[in-house]
Amino acid sequence: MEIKNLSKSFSTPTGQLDVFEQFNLELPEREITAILGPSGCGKTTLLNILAGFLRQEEGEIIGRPKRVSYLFQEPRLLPWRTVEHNIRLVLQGEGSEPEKQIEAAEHYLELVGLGAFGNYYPHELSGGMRQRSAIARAFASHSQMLLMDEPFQALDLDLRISLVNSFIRLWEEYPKTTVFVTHDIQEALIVADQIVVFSRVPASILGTFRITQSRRERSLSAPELISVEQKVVELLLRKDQS
Amino acid sequence: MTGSTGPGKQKKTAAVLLSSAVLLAVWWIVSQFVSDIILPPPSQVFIRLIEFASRTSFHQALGATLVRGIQGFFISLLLGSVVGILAGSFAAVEALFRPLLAVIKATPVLSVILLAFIWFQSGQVPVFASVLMTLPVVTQNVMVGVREIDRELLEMAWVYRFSPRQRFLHITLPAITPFFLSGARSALGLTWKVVVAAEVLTIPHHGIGTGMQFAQINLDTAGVLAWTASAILLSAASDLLFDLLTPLLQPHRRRRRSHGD
Repeated sequence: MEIKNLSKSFSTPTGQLDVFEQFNLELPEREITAILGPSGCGKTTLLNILAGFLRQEEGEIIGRPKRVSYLFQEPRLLPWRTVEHNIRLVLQGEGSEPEKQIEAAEHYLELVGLGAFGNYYPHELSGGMRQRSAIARAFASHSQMLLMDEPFQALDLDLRISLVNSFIRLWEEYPKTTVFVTHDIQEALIVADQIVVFSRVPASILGTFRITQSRRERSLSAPELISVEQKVVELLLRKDQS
Repeated sequence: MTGSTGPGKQKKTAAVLLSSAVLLAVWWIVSQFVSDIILPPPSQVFIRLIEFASRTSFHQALGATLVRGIQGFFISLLLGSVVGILAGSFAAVEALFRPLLAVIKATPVLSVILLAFIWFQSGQVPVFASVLMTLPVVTQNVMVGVREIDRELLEMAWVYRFSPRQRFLHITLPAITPFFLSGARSALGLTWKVVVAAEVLTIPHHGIGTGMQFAQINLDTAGVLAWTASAILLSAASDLLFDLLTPLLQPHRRRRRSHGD
């Protein structure tokens, strides 16, 4: 997938804010691209353009798939439907029989460790379990692209680690082109195939780093990851001083 | 919506009993100083109510009022929901209905009843009047409910390609249900008042209002009060039934428990 010559601006009380100006980015198929950058640098705007919530003024997105799933900062589950029903609702477009849909929903819940909780309403679960359900839904929908907007941020560290691990397990089983917006460098190092560092607006790419090590064997203390981490930190700090 | 339990509930019950006792005591004391035409003592009204309870005409009156109230209530719910959903979804529909609803809201109940009496038969007037008077309440609530639908959930539905039918069934309807129910609760109380008032003025064959009107003509104050008591009981019973049935519409609110990771 490729983003070509993208331009997008917003009108603000202080004038026009150009978020993207002739912006280009390549998103390798079936890889996870993590995007790091200062807050307000257009990361979420990019996701919303990719999802189709926002329309760009110029430029094109080449190879954008039809079916997209989105992991938001919040779980965004329907509070009045059980977790299993929430997942079933994203399957319904496929027109399969109810029994098969229930089976599919339970399968994905099983994969995120919530096999026993299908009949619970979201408010009966903890925040981490709700976000797990949202992850199950994102994969159940059989999308070709996954957009992630800091979906692990609202959680405690140990919860976050277990959630990230669940996510990686699921992703390895059902890989899809993924754009992962985060401001946590270590999360990006653990999860991504490619890390892209954005500048302030109008966004440009300060650096792109590829991580070749297999996701399952990664450790934050590995020399490859430490060296990428150092370079990313340098870029983020340099820009902060300007 | 769940009532308080334990000592809190006991205190509340005690307060209700106490204030009822005070009210009855004041009524009784005042009745001792004035004639029974001005204000009969509570006991007399109670006896009259017991007398009524054995009469077929009373049952017919109660039944007729009940049927009118139920008709008016459900027609209003149906119309109010349709208009409310449309007005909440489309600004143009809202603009279309806003002046109409504002006028209805400001119209005295009695004008509606008198006009309706020119247009309809006496039995239909209470139904028409109650629909008209409760329609703005239901519509307004449903409309606000539609507007308050969580935008984040709509975005989610958009990403996951919910069909319009899915969006309506699984987002719009459940989201407006609490608003609809609060509108319906207000409408229910109003319905009985308007139905009885319309019956008083239009005197259909049977009805609580009809009975009340005849009692008043005969200066039977105890009778007026006994009919009033039956209207109050009818209203209270309908509120109770409403509160018992509505949790069925919101199953997710019935269970409350939480799990750790």
